[in-house]
Amino acid sequence: MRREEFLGRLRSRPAGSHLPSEQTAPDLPSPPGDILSAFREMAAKAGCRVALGSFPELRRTLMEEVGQGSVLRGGEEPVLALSADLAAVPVEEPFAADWGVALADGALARTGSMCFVRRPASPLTATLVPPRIAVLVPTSRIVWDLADYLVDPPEGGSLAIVSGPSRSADIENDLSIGVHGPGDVLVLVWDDGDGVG
Amino acid sequence: MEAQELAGRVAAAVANRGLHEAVARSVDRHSYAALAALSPELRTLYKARARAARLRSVRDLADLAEQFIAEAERHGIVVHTAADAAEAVAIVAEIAKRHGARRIVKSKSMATEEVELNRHLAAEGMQVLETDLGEYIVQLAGQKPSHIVAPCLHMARDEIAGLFSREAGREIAKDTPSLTAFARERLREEFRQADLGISGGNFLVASEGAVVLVTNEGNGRMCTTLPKVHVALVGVEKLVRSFQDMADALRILPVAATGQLITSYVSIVRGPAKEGEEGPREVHVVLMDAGRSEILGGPYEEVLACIRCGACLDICPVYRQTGGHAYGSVYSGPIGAVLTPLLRPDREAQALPFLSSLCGACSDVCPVGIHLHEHLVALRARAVARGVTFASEHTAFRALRRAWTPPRRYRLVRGLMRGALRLGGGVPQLRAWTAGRRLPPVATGRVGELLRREGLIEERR
Repeated sequence: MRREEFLGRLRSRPAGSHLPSEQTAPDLPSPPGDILSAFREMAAKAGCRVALGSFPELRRTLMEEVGQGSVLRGGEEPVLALSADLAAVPVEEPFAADWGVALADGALARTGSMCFVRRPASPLTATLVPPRIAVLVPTSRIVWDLADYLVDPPEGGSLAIVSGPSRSADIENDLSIGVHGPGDVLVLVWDDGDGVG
Repeated sequence: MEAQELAGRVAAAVANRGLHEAVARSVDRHSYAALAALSPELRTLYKARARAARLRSVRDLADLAEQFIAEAERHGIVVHTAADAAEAVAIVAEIAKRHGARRIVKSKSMATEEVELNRHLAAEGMQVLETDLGEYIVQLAGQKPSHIVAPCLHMARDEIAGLFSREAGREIAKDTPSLTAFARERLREEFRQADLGISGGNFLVASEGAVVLVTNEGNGRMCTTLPKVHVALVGVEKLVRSFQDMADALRILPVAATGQLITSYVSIVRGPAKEGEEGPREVHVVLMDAGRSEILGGPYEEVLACIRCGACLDICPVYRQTGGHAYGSVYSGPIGAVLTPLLRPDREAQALPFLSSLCGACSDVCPVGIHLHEHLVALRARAVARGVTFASEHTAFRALRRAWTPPRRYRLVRGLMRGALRLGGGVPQLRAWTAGRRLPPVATGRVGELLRREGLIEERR
């Protein structure tokens, strides 16, 4: 159907004539004061393992976790520094990686979520294809809610909001982890010295 | 199809105790989790904001559609418009053919179920594989999804293990990790080789030209990230004004669906990959009308605000007894009983509003406050006006009319019924219903005698 005809059909209808008049939606409550603690708590509730520390501490944690495994990683400077001593697989071969390592563009305390933006240096596959992922979350990037993160939408391509491991309860409501996406999500909360949010 | 076929399917489902157990197991879990996820105050607040956002979308649908097209195309998305199911299918088939696609991976989408996309693409020689675990299972079984959110909730693990073993050519154990591991390995290979990914969309954000997908397994992200071409087929009613309105609706959608504050993944597709980026080289959005514009501006337009959470199915006492397949519609439960007769003209679809106890629980639980039970009543009246009734109902009312029209016969029937009730036998056909209930004792006097004694009616002549 031609676009003008499609839109014309919608325009020809008295949309909203059987709906109540628009009312102002109530305001959301203020976020709690300590959203760093809230983020850690909610990320753990979503099924993530959460570590908090300085950059060197987190680097050690990642080294111990990955061991001899291979990583698929983004090209951002903190990610390269964090995983410098680990064996990397080419971005074109995401299925070959044991781990994905990525830098969160933002994090949401209310839901314990991490936000990723597709950019040349930030492949979304790094948080999707490997069976285990480690995500570096600078404390300065933590906000309360998705709405706060999207007030000024980040530049770049598609976005992925990740909240815990891949899960399904399709088989008799029995929770299953790691169906298609990663089954293990390690969150490395990095106190980058810029405060929170 | 006739309404009698619907009645037959319902009767078969009601007699299937295994089905009741399977359905109850899932819907109870969803309902309890949804209840526990939020405080009553937050639930009320989130619901009010989601309803406001969704109703705003319905009011401004034409403007939002125009804005979405402009913004999406600005980001390099190709937007198509489809008047009906046939056009939607033809557009997707043409894109697939142009790319020589033979292997297609698909994430869960009710809109694609509505137009029977898989069947049409298979007829063109293309292999379409469902990748959501539940959808994959029902596809292997040659069935349709029986719930908006949990497509295979009607199936037991024994049956699923049998399907997987047949597919694998070897025995797959019945435990959930083994079943899931098989599906993961089988489908990963498909993700690697697929020429094209197909998805639906939970929201279309007009101000950004973005498609939003809400999933838990990761297959939605795989379908929209790995193949070189991504096609999203989405009903036009999924439009929302802005990211802020999307966030308002998203705050309550997973709570209502599964009791989660957010799903594991929210994918926001903003266009094809640019130079140096991984991701699809082409992204297409098929905006589908297929009856939506006919609903817009009419007495049922509120239903266009639905966010497909499935909460009304989970709470419905009828769905609990029948499951989804008895409805014979892609959309089942209360929302299906309202939406289907508005989208499909056939007599069976018009009879669906009768699959309700009118208890109103669906309206209470709806996260965007759709007055489902009121729409069901109105659609019943519309169906009767169109001559859609059940033969058994006809027969019963004809018998009552014959029995009660002459006063003498009415008194005779009344006496017989009083006697039967005193003896406690009741109506044999209703024993299944009366077995668990106690009727009040039959009064010694009669209403007519009481009224005559009080002088409210004249003595019988």
